[in-house]
Amino acid sequence: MTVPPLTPGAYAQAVREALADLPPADREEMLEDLDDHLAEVAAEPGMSLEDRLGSPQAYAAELRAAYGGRPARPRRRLGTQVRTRATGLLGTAHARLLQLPPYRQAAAFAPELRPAWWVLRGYAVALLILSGIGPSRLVPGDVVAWVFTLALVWASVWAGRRTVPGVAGWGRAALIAANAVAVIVVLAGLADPPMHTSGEVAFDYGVPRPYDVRVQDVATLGGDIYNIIPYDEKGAPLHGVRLYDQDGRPITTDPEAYGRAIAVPCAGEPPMRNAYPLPLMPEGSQVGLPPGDPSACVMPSPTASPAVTPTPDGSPSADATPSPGATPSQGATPSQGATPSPSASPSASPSKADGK
Amino acid sequence: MRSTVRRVDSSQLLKGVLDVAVLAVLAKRDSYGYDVVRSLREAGLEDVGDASVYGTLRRLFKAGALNSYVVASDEGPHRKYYGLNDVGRSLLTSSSAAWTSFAATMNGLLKEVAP
Repeated sequence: MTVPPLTPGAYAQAVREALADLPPADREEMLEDLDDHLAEVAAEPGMSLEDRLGSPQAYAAELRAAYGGRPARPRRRLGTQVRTRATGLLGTAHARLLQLPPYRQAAAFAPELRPAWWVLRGYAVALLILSGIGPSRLVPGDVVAWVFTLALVWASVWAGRRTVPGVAGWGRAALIAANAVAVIVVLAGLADPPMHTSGEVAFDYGVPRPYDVRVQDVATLGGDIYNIIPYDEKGAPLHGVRLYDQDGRPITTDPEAYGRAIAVPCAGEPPMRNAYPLPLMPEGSQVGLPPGDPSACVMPSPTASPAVTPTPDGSPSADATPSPGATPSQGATPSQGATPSPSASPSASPSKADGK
Repeated sequence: MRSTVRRVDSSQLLKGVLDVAVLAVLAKRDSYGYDVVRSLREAGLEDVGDASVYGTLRRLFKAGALNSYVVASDEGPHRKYYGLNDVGRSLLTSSSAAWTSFAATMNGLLKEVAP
């Protein structure tokens, strides 16, 4: 033997350490004459203490069992009990279900799906992380995102292949956590996939707008909204009413998506996108002419429908400014000049409205 | 679900009767820890564990069934001797009766089927 045999004192010390979780008084009561006892055993010729008694840890465990009293590490015991009971219940359910042929076939087939799950797991975690950085999507947005996603997929497969026989401790806990997160992400993605189709009223945050946040159920009457026709309390139509959301961002619609174009007056500024009613070109007129094209502009004419006639001076006037009570949040009041420009619209941080 | 079938082995049985075995050894004469181990092994309980005997002695002592005294020794360590007191003797009597009854029941049960 390369290791020298333990002396009775060293053996007793190792036993004490193995029982360190016991209250000191109890432990000393138990181990009071352990040193003398071990010296007696060691005096027996022929074998070392460890050959005769086993390891100090095993000796301590046997001592603990024989002495009784307080169980070792009650918290861990409790955890083990709960886990044992839980696995017992799961095992019973599994055994019962195994009597059903479909379940039996699925259970036999499930291990084959493991590699697919590894790939899906890596993909889902990558998308979760990416959605924390940018817009949430079902596919990575650019090359960097793709590389990142593929790296995570690779790592997930690597971890899966490596840990099949079962790992213990932190690695296992981390793996379980990653699996749980991936399951949640996949289920959430299935239940509510991120959509990027138009159709509802769009709340346009100006440029840049990294998020498309839409409010649904605005068009409760069954139609889609691309223009808003405001009236005052006496029923008189209003013009150039500028709408803002609670954060001071202009509320805009998307008439182009419905084949309607905003009429740009030939003289003066283009109308504000959030000044309602929008001066739309009559239905059926040409759409898609580039801005600045002379044929795209309209002369203010009385023949146009009142609802879409711009204000006489061709630009939203100050009298259309929201009253103080309706003023959007502080600092968000649009400039009161006769020629408000889109740049005057308050820039609000998109994160506030980012519900994802 | 995993189920366990236990074959009876003496180490399992010993756990339940080690107290009465130790009491029986001490009823003959006062003894110290390692001597009790030796006595049990000589009596036929060969796989009794040293730590089990030591722990049992300490537990019985703590429970008030044993008295103890230290005997100085010229060569080797001091020896703590244990002996039965009244509590220990009554414990031995009741445990012995329980064992006898249990053993008789088991013997009767097995006599009908064992070859």
